[in-house]
Amino acid sequence: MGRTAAEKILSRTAGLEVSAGDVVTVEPDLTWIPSGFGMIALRAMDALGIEKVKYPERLLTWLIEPSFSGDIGKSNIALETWSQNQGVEVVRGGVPNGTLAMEGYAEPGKLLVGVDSHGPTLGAVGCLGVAVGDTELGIILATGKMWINVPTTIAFRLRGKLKPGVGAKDVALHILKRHGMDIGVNRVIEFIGPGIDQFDLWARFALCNMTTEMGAFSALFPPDEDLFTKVSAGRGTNFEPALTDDENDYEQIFTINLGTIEPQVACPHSLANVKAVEDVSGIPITHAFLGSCANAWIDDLREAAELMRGRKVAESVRMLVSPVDKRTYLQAEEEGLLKVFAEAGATVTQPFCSMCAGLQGYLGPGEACISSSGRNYKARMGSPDSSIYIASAGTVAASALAGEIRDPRLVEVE
Amino acid sequence: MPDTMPTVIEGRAWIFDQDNIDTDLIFPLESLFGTQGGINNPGEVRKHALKGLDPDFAAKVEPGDIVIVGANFGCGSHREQAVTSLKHSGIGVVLAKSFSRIYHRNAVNLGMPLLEWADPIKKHVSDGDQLRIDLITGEAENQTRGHAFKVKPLAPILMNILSAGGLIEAVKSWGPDGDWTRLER
Repeated sequence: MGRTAAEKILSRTAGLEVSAGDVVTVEPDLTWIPSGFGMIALRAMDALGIEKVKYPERLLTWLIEPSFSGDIGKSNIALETWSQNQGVEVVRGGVPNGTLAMEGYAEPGKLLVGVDSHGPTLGAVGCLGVAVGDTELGIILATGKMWINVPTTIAFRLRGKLKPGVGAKDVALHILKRHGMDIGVNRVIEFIGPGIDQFDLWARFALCNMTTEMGAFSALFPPDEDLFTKVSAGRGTNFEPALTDDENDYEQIFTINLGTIEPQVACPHSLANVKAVEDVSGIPITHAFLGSCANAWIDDLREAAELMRGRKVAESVRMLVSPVDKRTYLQAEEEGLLKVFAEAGATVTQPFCSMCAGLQGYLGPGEACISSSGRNYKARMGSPDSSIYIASAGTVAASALAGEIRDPRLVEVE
Repeated sequence: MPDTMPTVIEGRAWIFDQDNIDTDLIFPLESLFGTQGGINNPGEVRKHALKGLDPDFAAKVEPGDIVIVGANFGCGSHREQAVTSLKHSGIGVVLAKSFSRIYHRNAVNLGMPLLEWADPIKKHVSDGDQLRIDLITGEAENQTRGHAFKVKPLAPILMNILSAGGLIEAVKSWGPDGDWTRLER
């Protein structure tokens, strides 16, 4: 028996050989603190009576959106001042997790810990991203360490060829439909097999991100050096991946035949309530959201813009487009995609969580949103009597044009 | 807190017979934005506990009461209010078929008791029954029916953190630079 990638990463950070089932203390390689909830972490440090961050060089302050007003706006200022006093680097802007990789902070084989549940997103570059609560974050800042329940690892073996118009989001929803929202609880999910070559970096972010909704401890793709170099932002980061030794080291392997998957839609109010797009086509929508840490990457924006170019969002629909981070925003600007959205009648926003965290575009009673984000929980975007449908960027764009849920493959592209 | 956390819970059962109860049902986003400045105020946070499932829950629940739910309780956000709203309501323990990882972790770290049930819980408990649960042994008694059953006790190391009142209190007693190796195998 060999060891899993996660066991190797956790052994290194624990300073001893660990196996699934052990509870050990580890020292994360990098931690990040956001504005807003991050203030709870600072209070936890106060409660411990510790003023100085143990390892300031292993901490990043992440100001998700500098334009916030109100309490979060005040916390932006407070946290930035605190960071300067602590000698901690500050990064401004972007939805966390995937953006940490985009800016070159997430390295293969490393343990990266932060608040925000979507830590598994970093598995796209082979980095073990783990989410904790705000109070625990404060304890990690003060002590440099955390307790961890070493997880087992399961694998999804991807084989076959994706049909045109089908992407990472559809694969994730297909897995949720088949295996439920708790298949990943206390497990790391790895994606293996010949099918992974069809997943570029953006698709890997999207698929790993959605393992959060499968309950995963974290997720991992075997890191690809070319893809990693593409995002490491010239920071001179290291490529030292951790890989699972042998397929026998997985608790279980599930095979996914990519060629059988159609565009999928997760219907209210559960991510396990997944249907083929053709079975829900025609359901009227009032909002469309192209954004979030799940699917607002450049390839999502390209996919949507291709369908929307020269067309108009249906009059009954309010559409918001929030690129995931600054780089994506700038790239989309350069390619003329933001103009396509704006001309179609959508509102393009700054890169942040927007509708997915209930920060924009309130859904009233009876209203329905089709969204490329990752969560359709009841009342997440507004009224308890509203509905959220989760789908790919293409399905969101096609539906926004039609005013009802629509199969993106039915939209003719010029 | 460390000396006062009860390890035997007695209270009324509130059954929410549902899997995948998410953090937005436990503590809705609207409550989060409606309690600006108050999200860490116990008296404020408790008013929103389980609001998405029963808007009047906070008004009806009494200290020691026991919440019983299905699988994957607390899936979704890392937001701690999903834990603290229940804790500050005085909930004695949450019994679930299983918990989401982050929820379980937050609850242990914040000192809110939670245990998993193995044997189908509805065989043993109806909504409103009076229960007595020993958190350490997992021995449970339905006092309404005069019937004993078992739930899964927590791993001893996690029970240590919980019974200290949470991770802040535990780290205070261990010392931040102290030997945390007691957590090892």
